[in-house]
Formats: sequence, structure tokens, C-alpha cells
Amino acid sequence: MVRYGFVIDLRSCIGCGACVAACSEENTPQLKTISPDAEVPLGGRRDIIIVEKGLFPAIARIPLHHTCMHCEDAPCTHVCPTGATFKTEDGIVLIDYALCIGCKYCVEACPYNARYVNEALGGPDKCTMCVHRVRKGLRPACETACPTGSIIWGDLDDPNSEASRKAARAIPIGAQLGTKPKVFVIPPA
Amino acid sequence: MPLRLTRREFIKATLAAATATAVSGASVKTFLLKEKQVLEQAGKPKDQVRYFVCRICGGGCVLKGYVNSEGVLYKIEGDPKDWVSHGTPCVKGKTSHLILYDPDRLRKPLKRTNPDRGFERGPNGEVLGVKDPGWTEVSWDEALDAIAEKIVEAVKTWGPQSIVFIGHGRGKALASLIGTPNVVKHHTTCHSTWDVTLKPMYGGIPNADMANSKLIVSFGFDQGAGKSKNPFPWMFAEAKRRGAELIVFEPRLSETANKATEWIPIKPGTDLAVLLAILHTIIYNDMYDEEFTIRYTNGPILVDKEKMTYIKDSNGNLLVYDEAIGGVVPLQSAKSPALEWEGEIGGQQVATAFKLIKERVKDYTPEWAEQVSGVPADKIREVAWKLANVKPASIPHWKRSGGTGPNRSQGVESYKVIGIIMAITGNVERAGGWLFMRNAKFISKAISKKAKKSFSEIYPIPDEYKGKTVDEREKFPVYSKHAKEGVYQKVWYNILNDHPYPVKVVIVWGQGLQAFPDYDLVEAAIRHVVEDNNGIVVNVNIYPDEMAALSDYVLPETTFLEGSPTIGFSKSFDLTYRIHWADRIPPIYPEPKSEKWITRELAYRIGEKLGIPRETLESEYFPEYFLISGEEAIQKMLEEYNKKLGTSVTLEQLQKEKVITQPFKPKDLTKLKTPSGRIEILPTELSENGYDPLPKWRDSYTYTMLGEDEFVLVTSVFSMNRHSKTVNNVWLRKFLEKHHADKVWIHPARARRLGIGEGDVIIIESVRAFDPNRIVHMPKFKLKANVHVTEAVMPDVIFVPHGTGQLSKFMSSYAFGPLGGDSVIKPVLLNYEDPSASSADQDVIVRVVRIGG
Repeated sequence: MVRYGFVIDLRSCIGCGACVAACSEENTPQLKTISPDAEVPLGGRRDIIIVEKGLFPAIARIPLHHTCMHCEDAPCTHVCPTGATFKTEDGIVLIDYALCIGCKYCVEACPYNARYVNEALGGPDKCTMCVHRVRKGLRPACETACPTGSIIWGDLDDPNSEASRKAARAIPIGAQLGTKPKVFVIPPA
Repeated sequence: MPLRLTRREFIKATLAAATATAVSGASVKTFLLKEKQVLEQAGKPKDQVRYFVCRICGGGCVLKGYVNSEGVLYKIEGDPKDWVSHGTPCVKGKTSHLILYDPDRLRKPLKRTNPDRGFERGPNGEVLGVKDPGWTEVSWDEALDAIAEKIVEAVKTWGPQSIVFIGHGRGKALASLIGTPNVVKHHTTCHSTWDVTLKPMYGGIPNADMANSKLIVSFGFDQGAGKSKNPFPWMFAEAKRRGAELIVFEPRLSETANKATEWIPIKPGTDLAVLLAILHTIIYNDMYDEEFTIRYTNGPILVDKEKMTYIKDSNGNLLVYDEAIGGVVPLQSAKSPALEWEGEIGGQQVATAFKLIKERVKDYTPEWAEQVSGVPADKIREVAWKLANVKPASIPHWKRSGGTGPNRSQGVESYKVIGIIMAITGNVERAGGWLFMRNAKFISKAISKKAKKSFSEIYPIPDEYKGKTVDEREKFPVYSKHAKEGVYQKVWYNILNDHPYPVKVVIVWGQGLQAFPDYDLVEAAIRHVVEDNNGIVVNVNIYPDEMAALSDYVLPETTFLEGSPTIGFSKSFDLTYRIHWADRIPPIYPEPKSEKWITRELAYRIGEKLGIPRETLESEYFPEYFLISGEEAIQKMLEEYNKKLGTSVTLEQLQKEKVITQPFKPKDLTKLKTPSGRIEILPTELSENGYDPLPKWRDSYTYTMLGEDEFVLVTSVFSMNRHSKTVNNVWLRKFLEKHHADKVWIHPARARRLGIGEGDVIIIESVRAFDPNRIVHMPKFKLKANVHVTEAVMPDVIFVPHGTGQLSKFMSSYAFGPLGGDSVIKPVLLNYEDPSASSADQDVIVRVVRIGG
């Protein structure tokens, strides 16, 4: 079965924000077709947080990628009263705005705080893994935009995909939360 | 809008959304199929694809832009065929469409009405902003007539030399027409050190093919992850993925150091000591590549021991000592040239170049370097061993690198050592080592910017000023030969002092104020031009920024995304001679004009006032640049491209394929553009011009003691910033903020002692430079900044980011970062013995005072 996920290579990520910009540029026109005033704010669906860790000279500034983990056992899907939040067969967590009533339970339920309230839309919004691109055979905008090739997207169940090979040696983000996240990081060397 | 909608409001909104979807063509039935529904909701924007050439930096990446049905360029991607960007422009290029629609952009020519110009200052002498110029909008006619009037007045009364163009060579065609030698560029603050070292040594600029390196050793190089000329980030990332070792010497945890296998903090200004000790270790332990050194460098060639210039036989042949026959023979007939030999030829003491280098570095032991730099001797030996034995290895460098660039007093010496190490370890012109740049920059020369005839034939430069430039570049022969750029840091100082002659018109074109050191000097010089010399200062700009607010007239220019179709090429690191098609989009506002339009219109007006008819001007005076454009210009550049590379690229092919690259061809290392044709590890071009060709350490070029409140200034640019070009980009500012690029960085131990906490406000002033002989002018203004207390800097160092801290209140980026930037406190430094005329403006000690929380 196909099971999409991301591997973030922190050995080479420079925290420049190109993925964040790409996310907003790519998805704003998509949201606008739902509500003309809506846009994906910068840092809305995905963001970079720089964390300084360590003491001189053993110090690193680590760029953390804050986005939806497309959990296999996603709390947001469980709390949604209308079933608007759902998971596709290949593991992408999405919101169907025709069913969403804007109760924002999902926003509260996400242990990663990966959802935000899009005011123009009047409801929650989150990373769609650029499903509109994926279904056309394209790759998510954040991966395409990364100047250092540090975001690798792909089928985690396909042993030949770069993503699955890299995921095998990477760490799932916040695995202790028990939601089976599908975003992995390769720690900075 | 309330944060949480009532149910009623939400249903209303959802209905609106549903209607919107229905209009865009979705079927109501699909509502049941959830995913399909999501996809349908997403809709299908009808985009047009347009190609652009990125001119944020010199890389010239291919930008593939998406223009929506409303004609708005809303998204930019790269092209996978583009080697330079590897298919992904950096974040600056990617978000450059925000420049296009920036609400702060200049729409009309502006004229100042407030005669009082300069900086607003606070009670502690800190710069707070630029005084309101009291701008009024004027027509192009009014602005251009007034400027042309002043230029003509200057030409007639004082001569063409009294007109100065400052910028990246913009307005060069007009300067040539007027006949002024004063087109001044920023290179002495940027890359003049490589012009006087790598060009004489290698006959060009080779750089690190990092993607294939197994070992990368960086001395302050921060392009990899930092400043980011686009080929470097992906190459460094590729190297890391392949498991290469990356060792970075740097006083601050730069972005590249942050990604390194090992960050070695080094006392600022002492990179040279470590480099010399590495060279010492490699030579005295016989770890160099002997065969490569003999075959491809001037190591075995005999030079005069005193003058360090070549000795030649009567036929002009270079000589070597042939071990096979035990005598001196011409280079081309030698069987086994000796690398180390000295003796006497015709009463002259001679030695091989290699021998002289070996003698020079004799005392530069790792133990000595440890004392100077604080880097342990064993660590230096380890790096030396790795550099000599891990193949391929590379030392990346680029312009303003912290250790090697012109921002260091000993940058020239460091470059010499790096050039030697790369050559004698055999890491030149091999994958993973140094490769010569193969960019298509040469095609721009197909269209001449030189006037056929200059106005100076009618109004010549007075005899006493002939051969003199306002920036004294003629005093630096090697630098001036390899780069016609000028001595940047000296320009305003000389203008203020009417040296060597008074200046009446200054045109600052596409150059931000932060490029210049020492703001009180800039202010005084601008006032002097206007008030004492009855002159004028003109700024051509995209934004109403700080430089604009100091000028008399501000002319709005188009951005690099607007205009007629053109051809893109790289001015920086490229291995593929890539050229590409750029459609561009028509200017989005009517008034901003292109460089060519502005210079040509000015030229017509000046010609008219000098009594030269339009037709005569066009046929007898104008440079080719003014006369051809569009497809004709592209055709000419393609001809040049085909002629030089032996290809047959046509305009149609370029339009169809968009990106053209050439396969890699190795270069013959015995036919370089150097005096011997080989790599000159002893650059005789320097000795011929009276400079020391060998690297030398000078104790006086570093610092020993720092007071309790004193720090060494370290600056750099983050990968999301390119100074004045991107500082008003709201997205990039958000990213910069995350990296604390809006603050100055101080180590916690020092901060605690001075009672400084995170976010506190401090005042910084310059107190002295490492090398007192360099000081031309110390700044009087002070810098106000917020502090980020971090373990990521050495305790001796204060890090001041470059390129933030806009002073113009007409910009949304006003006061983002230290007010005015590092340039406020950078002194004007120049040493006439330094062949590169480098500014050395990081070799400065500053004092810090806390003024508030």
C-alpha cells in the first residue's frame, strides 16, 4: 500500500524558509477558489523554528520544521464531529470544507499544534501534502522549493523510494505522543 | 473578524465557499466523495508561465514564474535544467515577486524640498533615521532636465572628471559618453583580494567543486549555507549527503559552521597564521603532490632570489635545473626539473620558486600558529594531514569570506596561501577540488558600452587631473589591471576633501547606503558636493530608501523582473556556460524606467545642451548599447557565445529550450593566462610590480588586548538577505527574525559582566582598527542595536549582521535590525602597501554601552 510521508534532512537544512514561502505561494490560489479572501499565511501550514542548543563551542542552531505529521493514528480525525477531517487511503490527512462546521476541536486536539484557524475561511486549515499536486503526479511544493534538497517526500512503504530508505535511518518527530507520525528527521551531524 | 465564528456565520461562509466552487465548475454530486471534493475545492488556476533571470545576486538563476489570470506574478520556481540553481532558486529569488508588488516601491521621480539633509541622531550620538527630504513628485522631463543641466555645468566649468558614478557599474555607458574615468564599484569591500592573488596565480578564478569533495576546509567562507550564491548551498548539501567532512574556521557559528562536521572557533584576523602553519606542515613533512607541483606549477622554475622575478635565457625561455643532466636548461627541454635547487647563474643568486616558498614558511610552525590563533597545534597538523591526503579536497572561498576577503587586513596573504595549498596538493581542475569558473559572463561584452566619441573631446579633462581618479585606483597597478573597479571605501572621503579634484555631480545607481562605511563621512561629503560645490546628488533606485533620502533627485527604476525579453547568464560560479531565455513581464507601473532608457534620455539632453544635434549624437557619439535592444541584442550575444565556445546556438533554439548548457571540458593547466602559463605558486606578476609575492605574517595586523567593554567586530549576511535588494521583503524579514538577524550577538559570559540581557538596547562605537596605519577616517556616529545573547559567538566577538537596519521611514523595513547597520561604525581603512586596496573593515575594535532594557 502507498503511505506518503516526509523525511527532513537536518544535516543540510539551512533554515532559509524557502519551503515556508513555497507553501504559502502554492496553496493560497487553492484556498482562494474556496473563499476569495482566504490565503495561507506565511508560516500557517508549515513553519521553521530555529532553536539554539548547547554551550560554546559545542553549540548548534537547529531548524525545526513545524507542520502536519499526517499521523497514522491522527487525533484530529477522531475528534471531528462531522467527519470533515479524514485520512485518504494513502495516508494524507485532509479537511473537507463542505462538511466542516468550524468547531475547531481538531485544532485543540492536535498534539503538534500543526493546525491553525484561517479566519477568512472561518475554520481550521493545515498542510494538505499538496494533494492537488500529488494527484497530478507532481511533488509537494515544499520539497520542490528546497534549495538544499533537505525535504524528501515519498511513499514510505515503497522500499525503493528515497523517502523510505532515508526514513529507515531517521527519527519520527514526537513518536512518544503515540500518533504514529509520518514526518521523520535526520538529526544534524 | 472574530476569532471564532458563530455557527450561523460559519454556515454563511461555507455557503459562500460552496457557491464559489460551483462557479468554478465543480459538480454538486462530487460533494459525497471526500477527497475528490477536496481536490475540486482546490480548483484549477489558469497560469501563464514566464521565464526570468534572477538578478538578486550575480548567479543569474533561471526563475520560472507563474502569472495568474489577473496578470499577477504570484509564484516562482526554478528550472531543473539550470545547473546554477539545480532547479531551485534560493529563498531570495523565489520570493522576489514581492519586490514587484511592494507598496513602498517608487512610482515617480522625486525631488527633495528640505535643504537640511542628513541623519537624525539620539542623545548618545546614535543614528536613528534619515531626515525627511520633503519629497515632491516631479515629471521625468523636469528631473532629467535639471540633472542634465548640472552635468553640463560641471563638464563646462570643471571638466568631465567632476562627475562620479557609484554603483555596480550602472550608468557606465553614460560615463563613457561624458568622458569621466570615475565609475566606482564596491570591489575593495568585496573581492579585490582575489583579483590580486588568484588572477596572477591562476590566470582566473577557480573555486571549490564542493559537491564532489570528500573534505572541505573553510576559512570564514559562509556562502555554503550563509550568504548563498545559489550554486554553493546545493553543492555543500550534496557534499554533506555524500558524507564529506566539513571543517570551518570562524569566530562565529556562521550558518556554514552550523552545518559543519567541526567548527573551530578562531581569533578574528588570525586565519593566516593557521593557513601558514598548514602550508608549513604540508611542505616540511613532504606531503605535497610532487608530480603535480613540478608539472603544472611554477614551483621548479628559477627566479632571482632578491627580486623574485623570473630569470630567462637569451631567447626569453624560462629556466629550470634539470636533475637528469645536472644543469640549468630551458623549461620546455627539461627531463626532470628539480623542485628544490638554488645556485648562481651569471652572478645572480637564483632558486626555484618552491624553494623560496619553503624558506619563507620555515618559522610558521603549528606551535607558533597556536600561540597566535588559539587553535591547538595538533588540530592544525590534523587539518594539514587531511588536506594533503584526503582527495579530492577543497578550500571554498568567495569574495567577502571572513578569513580571506577584503574585510581582513591580511586577506591577500591568506589568499596566496590558499592558492599554494590547493596547487601543491594537486587539487586543481579535478572533480571535488578547485575548478575554474565556466560562466557565460563574456557575452555581455558583445554589446559595447564604450562611446564612439566622447564629449571630453570638446570639454577635456584638465591636464593636471589626467590619469587621476577620484578613488586613487591608479595607485594599485595589479588590482587596476585585473579589475577596473576603483577603491570604494575612499570615494566619499576624497569627495569631501576635493582630492584630487572637486566633484560636482554624484550619481549613485542601484547601491544602498549600507555599502559605504562611515555614515558621518557620507553625510559630510554629500553636503559638501551640494552646499560648497553647488553640485547635485542623484539616486536611481527601486525604493525610497536611506540613500534616496539623502539625494537631491530620486529616479525610479524598473526591477529585474520587468522589461523586454533578454538573455540570462551567470556572473558567478558556473561550470556549464549556461545561458537562458528570459521573457520577463512588461513594467507594472508606467513611470519607472530601465537603466538604458534613463541613461539614453540623459545623454540626449546633455547633447542638446552642448549643442550636438540628435542625429550626430546617435551616429557619431552613442555607444552601441544605446542603439540596439531586444532580439537584435540577443542575436549579438549569441554570436559571441558561439564564437567563443564553438557552438551553434540559435535564437529559436534558445526560445524553445529555455536553458542551454555545455558539457564540461577539462582545461590545460600549462596554458593558463599567467606569465608562465602554469599555476604560479610564486606569482611573479606581484613581484614585477614591486609587491612581495610570498605570504607573510605581520603581528601588527591583529589585536592583543581587549578592554572589559570592547569587542572585535564581525559581520556577515544571512542566506535570506541581500542587503538593499531584499531588506523590504516582508517574508524574508520574518525568516531573518527567526535567525536573530535583526540583533547583534554577544556571548553570555561577556554580556553578564556588562549587565546586558536578551533584547537589551546597546550603543556601539568604533574605537580602533587592528592596523593603525590603515586608518583614513574613524566614524563619529554610533550604532544602536538590540542584543541577542548567544553561545554561538566567541567571547571576544560582537556579531553585527550586515544589510538590516533601514534608516528611511518611507520603508516598511525601517528600524528592522541595528539602526543603520554595521556600516555606521565601520571606519574608512586603506593601506597603500596592500596590493588589493582592501577595506579590512572587520579588523575593528568596538566599545559597547548598555542604555536600556
